Amino acid sequence: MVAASIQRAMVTVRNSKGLHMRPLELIARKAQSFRSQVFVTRGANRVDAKSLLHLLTLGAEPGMELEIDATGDDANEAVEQLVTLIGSEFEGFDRS
Amino acid sequence: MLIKRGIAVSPGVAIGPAMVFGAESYRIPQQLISVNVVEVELTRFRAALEATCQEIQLNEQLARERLGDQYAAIFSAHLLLARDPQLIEQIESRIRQQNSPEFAASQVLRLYAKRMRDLGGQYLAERSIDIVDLEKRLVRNLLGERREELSNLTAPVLVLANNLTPSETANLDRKFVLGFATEVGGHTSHTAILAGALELPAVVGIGKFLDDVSGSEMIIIDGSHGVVIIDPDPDTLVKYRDSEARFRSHERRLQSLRTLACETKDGVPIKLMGNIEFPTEAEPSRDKGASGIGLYRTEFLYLESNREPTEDDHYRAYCQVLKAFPGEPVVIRTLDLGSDKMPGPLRAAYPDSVNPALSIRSIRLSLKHLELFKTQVRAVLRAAVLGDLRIMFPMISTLLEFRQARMVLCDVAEDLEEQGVPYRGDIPVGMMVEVPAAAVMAEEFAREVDFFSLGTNDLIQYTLAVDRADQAVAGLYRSGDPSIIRLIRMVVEAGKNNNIPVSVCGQMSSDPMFIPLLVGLGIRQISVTPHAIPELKEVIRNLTIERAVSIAERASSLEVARDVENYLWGELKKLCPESMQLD
Repeated sequence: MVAASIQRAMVTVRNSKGLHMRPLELIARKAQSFRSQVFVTRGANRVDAKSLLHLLTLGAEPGMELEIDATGDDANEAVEQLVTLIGSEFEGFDRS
Repeated sequence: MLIKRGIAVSPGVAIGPAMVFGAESYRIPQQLISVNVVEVELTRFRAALEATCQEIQLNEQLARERLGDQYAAIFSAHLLLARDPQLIEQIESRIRQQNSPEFAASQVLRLYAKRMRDLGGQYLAERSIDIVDLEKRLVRNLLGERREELSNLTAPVLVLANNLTPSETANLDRKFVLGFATEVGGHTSHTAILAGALELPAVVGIGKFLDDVSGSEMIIIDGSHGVVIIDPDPDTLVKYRDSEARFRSHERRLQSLRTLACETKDGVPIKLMGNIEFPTEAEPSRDKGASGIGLYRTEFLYLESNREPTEDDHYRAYCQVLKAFPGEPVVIRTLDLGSDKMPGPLRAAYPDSVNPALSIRSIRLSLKHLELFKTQVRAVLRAAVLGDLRIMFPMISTLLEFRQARMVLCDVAEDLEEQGVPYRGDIPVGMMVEVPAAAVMAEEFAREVDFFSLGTNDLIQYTLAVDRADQAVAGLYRSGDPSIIRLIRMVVEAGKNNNIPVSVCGQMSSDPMFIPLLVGLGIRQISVTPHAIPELKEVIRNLTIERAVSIAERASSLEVARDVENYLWGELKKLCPESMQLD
């Protein structure tokens, strides 16, 4: 078996309210759609992207840099889609 | 380990497992499970989790129908939280390590809630409430019908609650409840008073802390210092076990004083009596060495049940107390209800007052609702046949009020006479001196009343204009204020001039530090929370009248409360060095 390759990418939080419940919920759901293990890191805090509870503890504010990393056979797509999602404006989801 | 501070209301140390008690609370019955039920418990956990998810889905659906998608979204996030893979993994791993599912779920979720609060920021603090909510749902589903109540305990616990009502406190099973701690409450709350009577170590007014406790953790309640320790480390535990033992030996030493006379070193008797609220407290008071009841609060009859108490309810309660004190005085204080504590039928008549302490309460209420007042007075006069029962009216401000109240008593006696019901008409009639106006006019009052009882709690509140239960000004409430000493002196003088007894029945007299001062001012009768009696007796037995008088004179010459209290504290240390070692 080939050693699982780790994919990484950086992304900046763009939506104006920071990553609150609703955006985080979408991120967790998106992460859960992949077989790969996916993590989000802010500074020293690296959390499971499939866990809404853990994502909440990131306290990600607008303008913050996050690192996404994924390990598994669909790691490439996972990183790519999560970067797109986190970097988006989460239009219409800023209410909660 | 987590240390919380509150108000110390009943001394002693209790160590044991926590039981969280509240309106929508539950107790986690056991922390650990045996290894051979791990699989069964895992299945039970998953079923409870599924039930929880279904509840949330139902809420989501209802919210969508009634409020729209935007609100339903809140529950969709909750559902995602409930199904969080990290969460499930951590709870299941704890269950595999033989934690009960209730304990595991509660601990893990509380850890997350706490982490979010600790991260700071209002948003996360609010989200932590969502986590606590999830915890409640999940544990409730796990417990199902197994929810335990205070009434059927089977093992020793320390009760933690937002608040305990006086009746809940009175009904605590002393075999199993070792102590309690509450989020709200103050020194003079009824719950605090009862804790002292039950001799349960207790701390109240801690502020919000129940979110940090799941139940079943080890807890230390230090009722002497107002400290609650959650999940103590081994060193702390050893320290407290030690202090628990010392407290017990101190108690034993005090208890050995029980049979000794309560008199000063130079042989002047000082009468120590008990303050009680429930008839069941009478016997324990006697066991503590009380020679009579100096203050029997009768409000509980009204606050306990929804119906108004009958004359016979009163009568039975008074007889029970008299039975515990044959030949000794039992002083009944008539109803001291007010706008914060109003009997059911009258609640509607008096909407919340802006200023309850200055509103319709106490004797004012009795005089306005004579049927209520007369029922009680009838019972008092009837019971007085059986022993040395005395009656006193609370919160008298003017001579007119006292005369009115006494007139009602005469009317009632006449009625009883006419009806041929046995009663005692020449019962001593006294009054509480707790309104500054009454203290100032003590000389005039003393010509008409049979005895004075200084209610220092209210006297201090009204004199210094401080509500002790109000955190913002509680520090301004000082028993040692020179104005209070001066008022007490006036009342004692008036009593002496007119040859009527003066006793003190406020919380101030339960504090050993004030005993030399009070005795020095000329007080010979003190009525206190029963558990304080042995300690006060020790102070009295170490005191001479000469010393007391000189202490009172020196204290009266000081200008501010702080100096008075420091001085009295120093004198107490000299009088009773042994007791002081406890701190």
